[in-house]
Amino acid sequence: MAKIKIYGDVVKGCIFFDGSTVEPKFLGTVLAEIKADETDRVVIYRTDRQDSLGNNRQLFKRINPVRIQNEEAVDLMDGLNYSIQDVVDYINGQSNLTASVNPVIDTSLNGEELGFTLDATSTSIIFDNGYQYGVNTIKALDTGDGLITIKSIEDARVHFTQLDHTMVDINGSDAVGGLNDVINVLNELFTVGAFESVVISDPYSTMVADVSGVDAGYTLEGADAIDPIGDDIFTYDGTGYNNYAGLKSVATIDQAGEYYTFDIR
Amino acid sequence: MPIRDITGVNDGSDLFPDGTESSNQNINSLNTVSSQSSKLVNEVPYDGNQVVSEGDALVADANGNFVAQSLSGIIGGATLLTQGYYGLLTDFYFGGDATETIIDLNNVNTWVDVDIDIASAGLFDNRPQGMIDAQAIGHDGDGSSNDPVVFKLEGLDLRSFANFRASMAFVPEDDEGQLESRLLFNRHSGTTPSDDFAIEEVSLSMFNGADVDYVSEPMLSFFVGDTIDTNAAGDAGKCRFQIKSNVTGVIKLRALTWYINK
Repeated sequence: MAKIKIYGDVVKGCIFFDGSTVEPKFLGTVLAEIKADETDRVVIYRTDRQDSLGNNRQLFKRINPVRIQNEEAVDLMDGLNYSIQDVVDYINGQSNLTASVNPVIDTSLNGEELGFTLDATSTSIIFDNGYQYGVNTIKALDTGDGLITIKSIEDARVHFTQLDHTMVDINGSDAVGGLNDVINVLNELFTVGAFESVVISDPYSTMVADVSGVDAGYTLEGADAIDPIGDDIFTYDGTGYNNYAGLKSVATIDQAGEYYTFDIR
Repeated sequence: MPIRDITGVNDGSDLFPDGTESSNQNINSLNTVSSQSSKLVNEVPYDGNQVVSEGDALVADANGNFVAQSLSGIIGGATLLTQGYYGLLTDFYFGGDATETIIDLNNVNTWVDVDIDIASAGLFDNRPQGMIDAQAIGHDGDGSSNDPVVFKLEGLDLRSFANFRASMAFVPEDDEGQLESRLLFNRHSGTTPSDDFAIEEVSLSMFNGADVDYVSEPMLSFFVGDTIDTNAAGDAGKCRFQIKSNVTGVIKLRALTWYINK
Protein backbone atom coordinates (compact mmCIF):
# COMPACT_ATOMS: atom_id res chain seq x y z
CA MET A 1 0.00 0.00 0.00
CA ALA A 2 1.42 3.33 -1.04
CA LYS A 3 2.43 5.36 1.99
CA ILE A 4 2.18 9.10 2.41
CA LYS A 5 4.46 11.03 4.73
CA ILE A 6 2.66 13.99 6.22
CA TYR A 7 4.65 16.45 8.26
CA GLY A 8 5.00 20.12 8.88
CA ASP A 9 8.13 22.19 8.66
CA VAL A 10 8.24 25.49 10.49
CA VAL A 11 11.33 26.69 8.71
CA LYS A 12 9.81 26.10 5.28
CA GLY A 13 6.39 27.12 6.47
CA CYS A 14 4.72 24.17 4.81
CA ILE A 15 3.02 20.91 5.50
CA PHE A 16 4.19 18.17 3.18
CA PHE A 17 2.41 15.19 1.68
CA ASP A 18 5.33 13.20 0.34
CA GLY A 19 4.34 10.22 -1.74
CA SER A 20 1.11 11.74 -2.98
CA THR A 21 0.19 14.05 -5.83
CA VAL A 22 -0.56 16.89 -3.45
CA GLU A 23 1.98 19.68 -3.37
CA PRO A 24 3.02 21.19 0.00
CA LYS A 25 0.54 23.61 1.49
CA PHE A 26 1.13 26.55 3.77
CA LEU A 27 1.01 25.80 7.47
CA GLY A 28 -2.33 26.62 8.94
CA THR A 29 -4.25 25.90 5.74
CA VAL A 30 -4.89 22.18 6.19
CA LEU A 31 -7.59 20.54 8.23
CA ALA A 32 -8.18 16.83 8.83
CA GLU A 33 -11.21 15.08 10.19
CA ILE A 34 -12.66 11.59 10.35
CA LYS A 35 -14.95 10.96 7.39
CA ALA A 36 -18.49 11.11 8.64
CA ASP A 37 -19.87 8.23 6.59
CA GLU A 38 -16.70 6.12 6.61
CA THR A 39 -15.26 6.30 10.09
CA ASP A 40 -12.20 4.31 9.13
CA ARG A 41 -11.19 6.98 6.66
CA VAL A 42 -9.90 10.52 6.97
CA VAL A 43 -10.79 13.59 4.95
CA ILE A 44 -8.17 16.28 4.54
CA TYR A 45 -9.19 19.75 3.43
CA ARG A 46 -7.35 22.85 2.45
CA THR A 47 -8.94 25.83 4.10
CA ASP A 48 -7.56 28.51 1.80
CA ARG A 49 -9.62 27.39 -1.21
CA GLN A 50 -13.33 26.75 -1.42
CA ASP A 51 -15.56 25.12 -3.97
CA SER A 52 -18.50 26.76 -5.66
CA LEU A 53 -20.65 26.07 -2.61
CA GLY A 54 -18.19 27.67 -0.26
CA ASN A 55 -16.95 24.40 1.19
CA ASN A 56 -13.27 23.84 1.79
CA ARG A 57 -11.63 22.01 -1.05
CA GLN A 58 -10.71 18.45 -0.35
CA LEU A 59 -7.12 17.36 -0.72
CA PHE A 60 -7.93 13.78 0.19
CA LYS A 61 -11.48 12.56 -0.06
CA ARG A 62 -11.14 9.35 1.96
CA ILE A 63 -7.56 8.53 2.70
CA ASN A 64 -6.87 5.34 4.55
CA PRO A 65 -5.02 6.42 7.73
CA VAL A 66 -2.98 3.23 7.61
CA ARG A 67 -1.12 4.84 4.71
CA ILE A 68 -0.01 7.87 6.71
CA GLN A 69 3.51 8.13 8.07
CA ASN A 70 5.47 10.76 9.89
CA GLU A 71 8.55 12.45 8.50
CA GLU A 72 10.73 9.50 9.50
CA ALA A 73 8.52 7.18 7.46
CA VAL A 74 7.09 5.52 10.55
CA ASP A 75 3.51 4.33 10.16
CA LEU A 76 1.31 6.25 12.55
CA MET A 77 -1.14 3.42 13.06
CA ASP A 78 0.86 0.26 12.50
CA GLY A 79 4.10 1.68 13.85
CA LEU A 80 3.07 4.08 16.59
CA ASN A 81 -0.28 2.50 17.42
CA TYR A 82 -2.19 5.69 16.74
CA SER A 83 -5.96 5.58 16.62
CA ILE A 84 -7.71 7.26 13.73
CA GLN A 85 -8.44 10.21 15.97
CA ASP A 86 -4.75 10.32 16.86
CA VAL A 87 -3.90 10.45 13.17
CA VAL A 88 -6.34 13.30 12.67
CA ASP A 89 -4.87 15.14 15.65
CA TYR A 90 -1.37 14.52 14.35
CA ILE A 91 -2.18 15.99 10.93
CA ASN A 92 -3.86 19.00 12.44
CA GLY A 93 -0.94 19.40 14.80
CA GLN A 94 1.47 19.36 11.91
CA SER A 95 -0.63 21.82 10.00
CA ASN A 96 -0.81 24.21 12.90
CA LEU A 97 2.89 24.48 13.45
CA THR A 98 3.57 28.18 13.38
CA ALA A 99 6.29 30.47 14.50
CA SER A 100 4.06 31.70 17.32
CA VAL A 101 3.85 28.27 18.92
CA ASN A 102 7.35 27.23 18.05
CA PRO A 103 9.71 30.10 18.70
CA VAL A 104 12.72 28.32 17.28
CA ILE A 105 12.97 29.66 13.79
CA ASP A 106 16.67 29.18 13.31
CA THR A 107 17.10 25.67 14.60
CA SER A 108 20.70 25.26 13.59
CA LEU A 109 23.30 24.66 16.28
CA ASN A 110 26.09 24.52 13.79
CA GLY A 111 29.35 25.18 15.62
CA GLU A 112 27.63 25.77 18.94
CA GLU A 113 28.22 23.88 22.15
CA LEU A 114 25.16 22.75 24.05
CA GLY A 115 24.84 21.32 27.54
CA PHE A 116 22.08 19.06 28.85
CA THR A 117 21.12 18.29 32.42
CA LEU A 118 18.13 16.99 34.27
CA ASP A 119 16.52 19.07 36.94
CA ALA A 120 16.62 17.92 40.55
CA THR A 121 13.39 15.98 40.20
CA SER A 122 14.34 14.39 36.87
CA THR A 123 11.17 15.71 35.29
CA SER A 124 12.68 18.35 33.03
CA ILE A 125 15.55 18.44 30.60
CA ILE A 126 17.43 21.67 30.84
CA PHE A 127 19.37 23.05 27.89
CA ASP A 128 22.03 25.57 28.71
CA ASN A 129 20.85 27.78 25.85
CA GLY A 130 17.73 28.66 27.80
CA TYR A 131 15.28 26.05 26.62
CA GLN A 132 13.80 23.29 28.67
CA TYR A 133 11.54 20.40 27.90
CA GLY A 134 9.76 17.76 29.88
CA VAL A 135 11.31 14.33 30.12
CA ASN A 136 9.97 11.89 27.54
CA THR A 137 8.96 14.78 25.28
CA ILE A 138 11.99 15.07 23.02
CA LYS A 139 14.40 12.81 21.25
CA ALA A 140 17.77 12.99 19.56
CA LEU A 141 18.43 11.40 16.18
CA ASP A 142 20.66 11.47 13.17
CA THR A 143 18.71 12.50 10.10
CA GLY A 144 21.52 11.46 7.84
CA ASP A 145 23.65 14.58 7.98
CA GLY A 146 26.04 13.17 10.56
CA LEU A 147 24.82 15.70 13.10
CA ILE A 148 22.29 15.56 15.89
CA THR A 149 18.73 16.70 15.42
CA ILE A 150 16.48 17.16 18.41
CA LYS A 151 12.77 16.80 17.80
CA SER A 152 9.61 16.43 19.76
CA ILE A 153 8.96 12.83 20.68
CA GLU A 154 6.19 12.39 18.07
CA ASP A 155 8.03 14.31 15.39
CA ALA A 156 5.68 17.27 15.51
CA ARG A 157 8.46 19.81 15.78
CA VAL A 158 12.10 20.15 15.02
CA HIS A 159 13.67 21.93 17.97
CA PHE A 160 17.30 21.94 17.01
CA THR A 161 19.45 20.72 14.17
CA GLN A 162 23.10 20.38 13.21
CA LEU A 163 24.46 19.77 16.69
CA ASP A 164 27.91 18.26 16.45
CA HIS A 165 28.26 15.34 18.84
CA THR A 166 31.66 16.62 19.95
CA MET A 167 29.97 19.82 21.12
CA VAL A 168 27.65 18.10 23.55
CA ASP A 169 27.96 18.33 27.33
CA ILE A 170 25.93 16.06 29.55
CA ASN A 171 25.66 16.78 33.23
CA GLY A 172 28.58 19.16 32.96
CA SER A 173 30.96 16.81 31.19
CA ASP A 174 31.86 16.37 27.58
CA ALA A 175 29.87 13.61 26.00
CA VAL A 176 32.08 10.68 25.10
CA GLY A 177 31.96 8.53 22.02
CA GLY A 178 30.84 8.83 18.46
CA LEU A 179 27.66 10.24 16.98
CA ASN A 180 25.49 7.25 17.81
CA ASP A 181 26.91 6.93 21.30
CA VAL A 182 26.12 10.54 22.08
CA ILE A 183 22.65 10.22 20.59
CA ASN A 184 22.02 7.16 22.72
CA VAL A 185 23.24 8.92 25.81
CA LEU A 186 21.07 11.94 25.10
CA ASN A 187 18.02 9.77 24.62
CA GLU A 188 18.78 8.00 27.87
CA LEU A 189 18.94 11.38 29.51
CA PHE A 190 15.75 12.59 27.82
CA THR A 191 13.87 9.55 29.02
CA VAL A 192 15.68 9.25 32.36
CA GLY A 193 16.67 5.81 31.24
CA ALA A 194 18.38 3.19 33.27
CA PHE A 195 21.70 3.97 31.70
CA GLU A 196 22.83 7.33 30.76
CA SER A 197 26.02 6.04 29.24
CA VAL A 198 26.60 2.38 28.65
CA VAL A 199 26.22 1.84 24.93
CA ILE A 200 29.23 0.84 22.93
CA SER A 201 27.75 0.93 19.48
CA ASP A 202 30.24 3.09 17.72
CA PRO A 203 33.82 2.29 16.71
CA TYR A 204 34.59 5.87 17.64
CA SER A 205 34.29 4.78 21.24
CA THR A 206 35.50 1.54 22.71
CA MET A 207 34.47 1.86 26.30
CA VAL A 208 32.07 4.35 27.76
CA ALA A 209 30.70 4.08 31.21
CA ASP A 210 29.42 6.49 33.76
CA VAL A 211 27.51 4.85 36.48
CA SER A 212 26.48 6.02 39.84
CA GLY A 213 24.78 4.04 42.53
CA VAL A 214 25.56 1.70 45.38
CA ASP A 215 28.02 -1.13 45.04
CA ALA A 216 26.33 -4.47 45.19
CA GLY A 217 27.76 -7.39 47.05
CA TYR A 218 29.04 -10.31 45.07
CA THR A 219 30.90 -13.56 45.15
CA LEU A 220 33.61 -14.81 42.83
CA GLU A 221 32.78 -17.96 40.98
CA GLY A 222 35.11 -20.34 39.22
CA ALA A 223 38.74 -21.17 39.72
CA ASP A 224 40.08 -18.42 37.50
CA ALA A 225 38.16 -15.46 38.88
CA ILE A 226 40.28 -12.87 40.68
CA ASP A 227 39.67 -9.49 42.26
CA PRO A 228 43.06 -7.84 41.83
CA ILE A 229 42.30 -4.14 41.98
CA GLY A 230 39.37 -3.51 44.23
CA ASP A 231 35.79 -4.20 44.91
CA ASP A 232 34.59 -2.74 41.65
CA ILE A 233 36.97 -4.57 39.36
CA PHE A 234 36.62 -8.16 38.38
CA THR A 235 38.61 -10.19 35.89
CA TYR A 236 40.06 -13.62 35.40
CA ASP A 237 43.61 -14.62 36.19
CA GLY A 238 44.82 -14.45 32.60
CA THR A 239 46.26 -17.96 32.65
CA GLY A 240 43.32 -20.22 33.12
CA TYR A 241 40.06 -20.37 31.25
CA ASN A 242 38.47 -16.98 30.98
CA ASN A 243 35.06 -18.60 30.84
CA TYR A 244 35.82 -20.29 34.11
CA ALA A 245 35.66 -17.01 35.96
CA GLY A 246 32.36 -15.57 37.12
CA LEU A 247 30.93 -12.94 39.35
CA LYS A 248 27.65 -13.46 41.12
CA SER A 249 25.72 -10.65 42.72
CA VAL A 250 24.25 -11.29 46.06
CA ALA A 251 22.07 -8.19 45.87
CA THR A 252 18.43 -8.68 44.94
CA ILE A 253 16.41 -6.38 42.73
CA ASP A 254 13.13 -6.15 44.55
CA GLN A 255 12.23 -2.47 44.33
CA ALA A 256 10.80 -0.50 41.43
CA GLY A 257 13.50 1.44 39.62
CA GLU A 258 16.37 -0.75 40.76
CA TYR A 259 18.79 -2.06 38.21
CA TYR A 260 22.29 -3.37 37.80
CA THR A 261 24.99 -1.46 36.03
CA PHE A 262 28.44 -2.63 35.07
CA ASP A 263 31.43 -0.42 34.78
CA ILE A 264 33.58 -1.55 31.89
CA ARG A 265 37.21 -0.51 31.72
CA MET B 1 -49.02 39.36 -73.32
CA PRO B 2 -47.28 36.89 -75.69
CA ILE B 3 -43.78 37.79 -76.74
CA ARG B 4 -44.52 36.73 -80.34
CA ASP B 5 -47.44 36.19 -82.58
CA ILE B 6 -47.13 33.68 -85.40
CA THR B 7 -49.82 32.99 -87.88
CA GLY B 8 -49.93 30.65 -90.86
CA VAL B 9 -47.22 28.09 -91.57
CA ASN B 10 -44.14 28.17 -89.53
CA ASP B 11 -41.35 28.18 -92.08
CA GLY B 12 -38.56 28.60 -89.64
CA SER B 13 -37.87 32.19 -90.28
CA ASP B 14 -40.01 33.39 -87.52
CA LEU B 15 -40.19 32.73 -83.88
CA PHE B 16 -42.29 29.77 -82.94
CA PRO B 17 -44.12 28.99 -79.80
CA ASP B 18 -42.81 26.34 -77.49
CA GLY B 19 -44.15 22.91 -78.18
CA THR B 20 -44.79 23.41 -81.91
CA GLU B 21 -43.30 21.19 -84.56
CA SER B 22 -41.69 22.27 -87.75
CA SER B 23 -40.27 20.69 -90.83
CA ASN B 24 -37.32 22.99 -90.44
CA GLN B 25 -34.76 23.11 -87.68
CA ASN B 26 -36.01 25.64 -85.29
CA ILE B 27 -33.09 27.49 -83.89
CA ASN B 28 -34.20 29.49 -81.00
CA SER B 29 -31.57 29.00 -78.39
CA LEU B 30 -33.01 31.39 -75.87
CA ASN B 31 -36.04 29.19 -75.55
CA THR B 32 -35.97 25.95 -73.56
CA VAL B 33 -37.70 22.97 -75.03
CA SER B 34 -38.07 20.35 -72.38
CA SER B 35 -38.67 17.52 -74.77
CA GLN B 36 -35.32 18.10 -76.43
CA SER B 37 -33.72 16.16 -73.54
CA SER B 38 -35.18 13.03 -75.00
CA LYS B 39 -32.68 13.24 -77.81
CA LEU B 40 -29.80 13.05 -75.29
CA VAL B 41 -31.08 10.22 -73.18
CA ASN B 42 -31.94 8.20 -76.20
CA GLU B 43 -28.23 7.69 -76.64
CA VAL B 44 -28.12 5.42 -73.53
CA PRO B 45 -30.53 2.77 -72.33
CA TYR B 46 -33.14 4.76 -70.58
CA ASP B 47 -36.62 4.27 -69.32
CA GLY B 48 -38.43 7.10 -70.98
CA ASN B 49 -41.40 6.81 -68.69
CA GLN B 50 -39.53 8.16 -65.73
CA VAL B 51 -40.39 11.46 -64.27
CA VAL B 52 -37.22 13.50 -64.32
CA SER B 53 -36.77 16.46 -62.06
CA GLU B 54 -34.34 19.27 -62.09
CA GLY B 55 -30.97 18.29 -60.73
CA ASP B 56 -31.51 14.59 -61.25
CA ALA B 57 -28.61 12.45 -62.39
CA LEU B 58 -28.55 9.22 -64.33
CA VAL B 59 -27.36 6.16 -62.57
CA ALA B 60 -27.12 2.72 -64.06
CA ASP B 61 -29.26 0.12 -62.37
CA ALA B 62 -28.58 -3.57 -61.98
CA ASN B 63 -29.83 -4.27 -65.51
CA GLY B 64 -27.55 -1.75 -67.11
CA ASN B 65 -30.33 0.73 -67.68
CA PHE B 66 -29.88 4.29 -66.65
CA VAL B 67 -32.44 5.62 -64.30
CA ALA B 68 -32.83 9.10 -62.98
CA GLN B 69 -32.04 9.63 -59.33
CA SER B 70 -32.21 12.69 -57.27
CA LEU B 71 -28.90 14.17 -56.27
CA SER B 72 -29.80 13.93 -52.63
CA GLY B 73 -30.49 10.25 -53.08
CA ILE B 74 -27.14 9.71 -54.70
CA ILE B 75 -25.35 11.61 -51.99
CA GLY B 76 -27.27 9.69 -49.39
CA GLY B 77 -26.13 6.46 -50.91
CA ALA B 78 -22.56 7.65 -50.97
CA THR B 79 -22.85 8.63 -47.35
CA LEU B 80 -23.95 5.17 -46.42
CA LEU B 81 -20.87 3.81 -48.07
CA THR B 82 -18.29 6.28 -46.87
CA GLN B 83 -19.15 7.67 -43.49
CA GLY B 84 -20.94 6.87 -40.32
CA TYR B 85 -20.58 6.39 -36.61
CA TYR B 86 -20.87 3.76 -33.95
CA GLY B 87 -22.17 4.96 -30.63
CA LEU B 88 -22.47 3.09 -27.35
CA LEU B 89 -24.47 5.04 -24.79
CA THR B 90 -25.06 4.27 -21.16
CA ASP B 91 -28.16 5.02 -19.16
CA PHE B 92 -26.68 8.43 -18.47
CA TYR B 93 -28.32 9.63 -21.70
CA PHE B 94 -31.61 7.96 -20.85
CA GLY B 95 -32.25 9.44 -17.45
CA GLY B 96 -30.01 7.04 -15.54
CA ASP B 97 -26.45 6.84 -14.38
CA ALA B 98 -23.13 6.48 -16.10
CA THR B 99 -21.16 3.27 -15.69
CA GLU B 100 -18.61 3.40 -12.89
CA THR B 101 -15.14 1.90 -12.82
CA ILE B 102 -13.23 2.05 -9.55
CA ILE B 103 -9.60 3.09 -9.62
CA ASP B 104 -8.07 1.88 -6.37
CA LEU B 105 -4.53 1.52 -5.12
CA ASN B 106 -4.21 -1.75 -7.01
CA ASN B 107 -4.69 -0.19 -10.42
CA VAL B 108 -3.57 3.38 -9.94
CA ASN B 109 -0.89 4.39 -12.46
CA THR B 110 -1.97 1.45 -14.61
CA TRP B 111 -3.81 1.37 -17.92
CA VAL B 112 -7.28 0.13 -17.14
CA ASP B 113 -10.14 -1.01 -19.36
CA VAL B 114 -13.16 1.12 -18.63
CA ASP B 115 -16.43 -0.65 -17.94
CA ILE B 116 -19.50 0.33 -19.91
CA ASP B 117 -23.04 -0.86 -19.37
CA ILE B 118 -24.70 -0.17 -22.71
CA ALA B 119 -28.27 1.02 -22.35
CA SER B 120 -30.96 -1.11 -23.96
CA ALA B 121 -31.49 1.56 -26.58
CA GLY B 122 -27.93 2.80 -26.44
CA LEU B 123 -26.36 1.11 -29.44
CA PHE B 124 -26.26 3.35 -32.50
CA ASP B 125 -24.82 1.40 -35.40
CA ASN B 126 -24.47 3.74 -38.33
CA ARG B 127 -21.18 2.49 -39.61
CA PRO B 128 -20.28 2.67 -43.30
CA GLN B 129 -22.00 -0.10 -45.16
CA GLY B 130 -18.77 -1.93 -45.83
CA MET B 131 -18.17 -2.34 -42.12
CA ILE B 132 -21.68 -3.57 -41.51
CA ASP B 133 -21.33 -6.03 -44.35
CA ALA B 134 -18.07 -7.27 -42.89
CA GLN B 135 -19.21 -7.46 -39.27
CA ALA B 136 -22.86 -7.34 -38.35
CA ILE B 137 -21.97 -6.34 -34.81
CA GLY B 138 -19.34 -3.70 -34.51
CA HIS B 139 -17.72 -4.70 -31.25
CA ASP B 140 -16.66 -7.57 -29.06
CA GLY B 141 -17.16 -7.71 -25.31
CA ASP B 142 -20.08 -6.76 -23.14
CA GLY B 143 -18.28 -3.92 -21.42
CA SER B 144 -18.15 -5.56 -18.03
CA SER B 145 -15.02 -6.02 -15.99
CA ASN B 146 -12.61 -8.39 -17.76
CA ASP B 147 -14.70 -8.25 -20.94
CA PRO B 148 -14.07 -4.80 -22.37
CA VAL B 149 -15.70 -3.40 -25.46
CA VAL B 150 -13.33 -3.85 -28.39
CA PHE B 151 -14.27 -2.03 -31.58
CA LYS B 152 -13.78 -3.87 -34.87
CA LEU B 153 -12.15 -2.04 -37.75
CA GLU B 154 -13.01 -4.70 -40.31
CA GLY B 155 -14.39 -3.20 -43.50
CA LEU B 156 -12.05 -0.25 -43.44
CA ASP B 157 -9.16 0.18 -45.83
CA LEU B 158 -6.03 2.25 -46.12
CA ARG B 159 -7.93 5.39 -47.08
CA SER B 160 -10.08 5.22 -44.00
CA PHE B 161 -9.74 7.35 -40.91
CA ALA B 162 -11.74 7.88 -37.77
CA ASN B 163 -12.25 9.94 -34.68
CA PHE B 164 -13.00 8.45 -31.32
CA ARG B 165 -14.68 10.23 -28.44
CA ALA B 166 -15.20 9.04 -24.91
CA SER B 167 -17.65 10.93 -22.76
CA MET B 168 -16.93 10.58 -19.08
CA ALA B 169 -16.28 12.15 -15.74
CA PHE B 170 -13.67 11.31 -13.13
CA VAL B 171 -14.09 11.81 -9.40
CA PRO B 172 -10.65 11.71 -7.77
CA GLU B 173 -10.04 10.84 -4.16
CA ASP B 174 -6.87 12.92 -4.04
CA ASP B 175 -6.29 16.41 -5.30
CA GLU B 176 -3.81 17.40 -7.99
CA GLY B 177 -3.97 14.18 -9.96
CA GLN B 178 -3.82 13.48 -13.65
CA LEU B 179 -5.90 11.27 -15.92
CA GLU B 180 -4.68 9.94 -19.25
CA SER B 181 -6.73 8.32 -22.01
CA ARG B 182 -5.77 6.09 -24.88
CA LEU B 183 -7.00 3.89 -27.66
CA LEU B 184 -5.15 0.59 -27.65
CA PHE B 185 -4.93 -1.00 -31.08
CA ASN B 186 -4.56 -4.67 -31.91
CA ARG B 187 -3.07 -5.22 -35.35
CA HIS B 188 -4.28 -7.81 -37.82
CA SER B 189 -2.19 -10.90 -38.56
CA GLY B 190 1.06 -10.91 -40.41
CA THR B 191 2.23 -7.42 -39.55
CA THR B 192 5.63 -6.14 -38.58
CA PRO B 193 5.67 -4.99 -35.88
CA SER B 194 2.92 -7.13 -34.49
CA ASP B 195 2.59 -5.75 -30.98
CA ASP B 196 -0.22 -3.52 -29.83
CA PHE B 197 0.16 0.22 -30.09
CA ALA B 198 -1.70 3.14 -28.58
CA ILE B 199 -2.73 6.71 -29.24
CA GLU B 200 -2.72 8.63 -25.97
CA GLU B 201 -3.44 12.00 -24.48
CA VAL B 202 -3.55 13.68 -21.10
CA SER B 203 -7.23 14.26 -20.56
CA LEU B 204 -7.45 15.81 -17.12
CA SER B 205 -5.21 17.73 -14.77
CA MET B 206 -7.30 17.96 -11.65
CA PHE B 207 -6.36 20.87 -9.43
CA ASN B 208 -9.73 21.91 -8.11
CA GLY B 209 -9.91 19.49 -5.24
CA ALA B 210 -10.79 15.89 -4.56
CA ASP B 211 -14.36 14.61 -4.71
CA VAL B 212 -15.16 16.78 -7.70
CA ASP B 213 -16.69 15.61 -10.99
CA TYR B 214 -14.10 16.42 -13.63
CA VAL B 215 -15.84 16.04 -16.99
CA SER B 216 -13.81 15.04 -19.99
CA GLU B 217 -14.54 14.15 -23.59
CA PRO B 218 -11.22 13.03 -25.02
CA MET B 219 -11.16 12.95 -28.81
CA LEU B 220 -8.58 10.72 -30.42
CA SER B 221 -8.17 10.56 -34.17
CA PHE B 222 -6.41 7.89 -36.17
CA PHE B 223 -5.94 6.68 -39.71
CA VAL B 224 -6.27 3.10 -40.74
CA GLY B 225 -2.74 2.11 -41.53
CA ASP B 226 -1.61 -1.09 -43.13
CA THR B 227 -1.48 -3.00 -39.86
CA ILE B 228 -5.02 -2.33 -38.71
CA ASP B 229 -6.91 -2.28 -42.01
CA THR B 230 -8.87 -5.22 -43.35
CA ASN B 231 -6.45 -7.98 -44.16
CA ALA B 232 -9.03 -10.69 -44.81
CA ALA B 233 -12.44 -11.70 -43.62
CA GLY B 234 -12.27 -11.84 -39.86
CA ASP B 235 -8.75 -10.44 -39.83
CA ALA B 236 -8.61 -6.71 -39.23
CA GLY B 237 -7.46 -4.29 -36.61
CA LYS B 238 -9.33 -3.61 -33.38
CA CYS B 239 -9.17 -0.96 -30.71
CA ARG B 240 -10.40 -0.32 -27.20
CA PHE B 241 -10.52 2.56 -24.78
CA GLN B 242 -8.42 2.69 -21.62
CA ILE B 243 -7.52 5.22 -18.96
CA LYS B 244 -4.70 5.69 -16.48
CA SER B 245 -4.91 7.78 -13.33
CA ASN B 246 -2.22 8.63 -10.81
CA VAL B 247 -4.80 9.00 -8.06
CA THR B 248 -7.57 6.77 -6.85
CA GLY B 249 -11.11 7.62 -7.82
CA VAL B 250 -14.12 6.65 -9.87
CA ILE B 251 -14.50 6.80 -13.64
CA LYS B 252 -18.06 7.51 -14.73
CA LEU B 253 -18.31 6.52 -18.37
CA ARG B 254 -21.21 8.00 -20.29
CA ALA B 255 -20.60 6.92 -23.89
CA LEU B 256 -18.10 5.72 -26.45
CA THR B 257 -18.40 6.86 -30.05
CA TRP B 258 -16.39 6.20 -33.18
CA TYR B 259 -16.86 8.62 -36.10
CA ILE B 260 -15.75 6.87 -39.25
CA ASN B 261 -14.74 7.84 -42.76
CA LYS B 262 -14.16 4.94 -45.06
